[in-house]
Amino acid sequence: MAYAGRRCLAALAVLFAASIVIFLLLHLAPGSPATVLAGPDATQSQVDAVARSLDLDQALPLQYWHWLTGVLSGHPGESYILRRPIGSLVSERLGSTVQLMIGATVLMCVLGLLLGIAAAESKRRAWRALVDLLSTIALSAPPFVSSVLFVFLFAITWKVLPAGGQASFLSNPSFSIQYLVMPSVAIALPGAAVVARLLATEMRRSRQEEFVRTAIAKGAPRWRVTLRHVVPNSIGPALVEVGIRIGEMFAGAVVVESLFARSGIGSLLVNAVQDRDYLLANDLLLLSVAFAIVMQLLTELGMSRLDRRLALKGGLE
Amino acid sequence: MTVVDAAVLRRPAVPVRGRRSLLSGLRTSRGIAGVALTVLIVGCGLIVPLFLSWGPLQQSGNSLAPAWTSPHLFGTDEVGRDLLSRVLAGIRLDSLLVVIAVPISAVLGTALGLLSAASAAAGNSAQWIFNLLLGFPGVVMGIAVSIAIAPGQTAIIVAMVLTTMPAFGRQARITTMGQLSRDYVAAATVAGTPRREIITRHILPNVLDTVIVRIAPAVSQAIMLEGALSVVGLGIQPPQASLGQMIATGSQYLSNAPMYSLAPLVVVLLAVMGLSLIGDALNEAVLRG
Repeated sequence: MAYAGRRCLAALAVLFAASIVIFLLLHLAPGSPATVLAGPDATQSQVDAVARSLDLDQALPLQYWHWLTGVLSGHPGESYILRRPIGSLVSERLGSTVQLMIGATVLMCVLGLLLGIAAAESKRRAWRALVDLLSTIALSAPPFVSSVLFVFLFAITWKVLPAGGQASFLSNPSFSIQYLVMPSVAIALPGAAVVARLLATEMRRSRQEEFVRTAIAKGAPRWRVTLRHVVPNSIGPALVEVGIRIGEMFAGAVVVESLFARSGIGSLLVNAVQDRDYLLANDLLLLSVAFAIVMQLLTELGMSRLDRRLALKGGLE
Repeated sequence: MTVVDAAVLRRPAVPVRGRRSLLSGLRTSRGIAGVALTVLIVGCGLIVPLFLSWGPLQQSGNSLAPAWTSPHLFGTDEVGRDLLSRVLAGIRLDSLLVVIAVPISAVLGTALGLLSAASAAAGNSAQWIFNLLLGFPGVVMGIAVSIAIAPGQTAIIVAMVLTTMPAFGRQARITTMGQLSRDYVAAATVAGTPRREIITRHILPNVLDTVIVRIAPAVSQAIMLEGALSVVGLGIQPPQASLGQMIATGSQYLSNAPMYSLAPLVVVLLAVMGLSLIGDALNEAVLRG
């Protein structure tokens, strides 16, 4: 487990560096938050007073230390613009984003599995070409493209789904799922296409293996061989891809929440940056980067379990 | 890692027989389709505006004019600007941003990746930088950059470079490590060839071939980044025309002026499709060797 320990330390180091980068972004920015907060007509002494009240007059390392220890001890501060504790803003909106990401992950796995098995099992040329075309289209549709296309098709042309909004999953599950369908498919599509490709490639390889031929020789039906033997032995690379995609999924959520008028963490981040609500923006950036780095770490550890040789050589490069 | 799939990255470096195999990849049906799509889109963006009487910023006084009528083939937007002309301007803008950002990213990424040939410590620090950059996926990087630099073209170019660089860098590093373990490097070292010469004469040419394969995915990643950032309002700022911004603004008029959003949407879809076909064709060519 020395390998896992080393990877964890490396991930912590990356996270630490990321927190410094995020903190410094603000100080590269034109115009300090104090100027923004004090308003356009403020005198210099008013701006200074605001800066003092936000501790912006302290030395940079000290400010960084206050910010980091605050976040780590569960006191992420208060939003300058919304004048509310950031902790309660995040907890109010986290549910929406988590729903969206869980929905997208499930759909990515299901669509990826179906498309992958269809691609690997299809014998007829036309069928294979169709599956290939579908996955090329899915791969080429970034969330902001597929979102708008879905709204045009399913909310405006055929009015079967709501064009935007959200509902609480706990109090109103069926509405909540209706609101979730289009945004989660939009996030899931490109990943599903890649998962399908990886799975199909591995499945074609596994088909040639000894144990599969044995199962076929024993007279097991084709679907049973596929589901019991071929898929489980071919799923590794696809799972790694799913891990990588979950880590990057917040980027998709940012875009989709803005297009579907969902109030989640992504739209909170975008609004914070547009309103120059820097402390809130910094906290949310740190949250999303921490998530991405943790997923990177889990994926790397998962990959090393898949491929022990990597662990012995000192890690995936 | 958008179109960069894990399996490709895990594969050991393959011996490459030079640019000819890459060109042969482009002559497959996928390659031809991809090049045709990409050339068609960029060509339209460059040539068609010469025949239009409306500029992308010119207001005709006729707002939300219907599509498929003269003189506005795609109709007009909410302030009466010709949408065809704006879509073409969006294509030109994306092409310009990508032509600036992707070469910078490819050169920086390759250079950092090659560092692993110089020393293990340098290689590890490069790897560490890539991991840091990958912590800011896609539009999150764009948002971070737009805090430090005001939203606009410069911020987008910087974000494009930072998000596409790790794929180039990791690819260069994998190929470099693969080449380092080969006999000819040991032979050259024994023969007293300086390290720098081994890198530039022998390793770099092999690295270049595998890096070239990463260009098409990087370009589509960059286009998607511009689109996504402009959709959330932190990318190209109005009145300048960008595909992402037109898709987002037009989505408010989908029921009465669907072409507003759908025209730029189809352009992005076809462009990314063309690029991924090229990427696939080149990738297969390199794997075939």
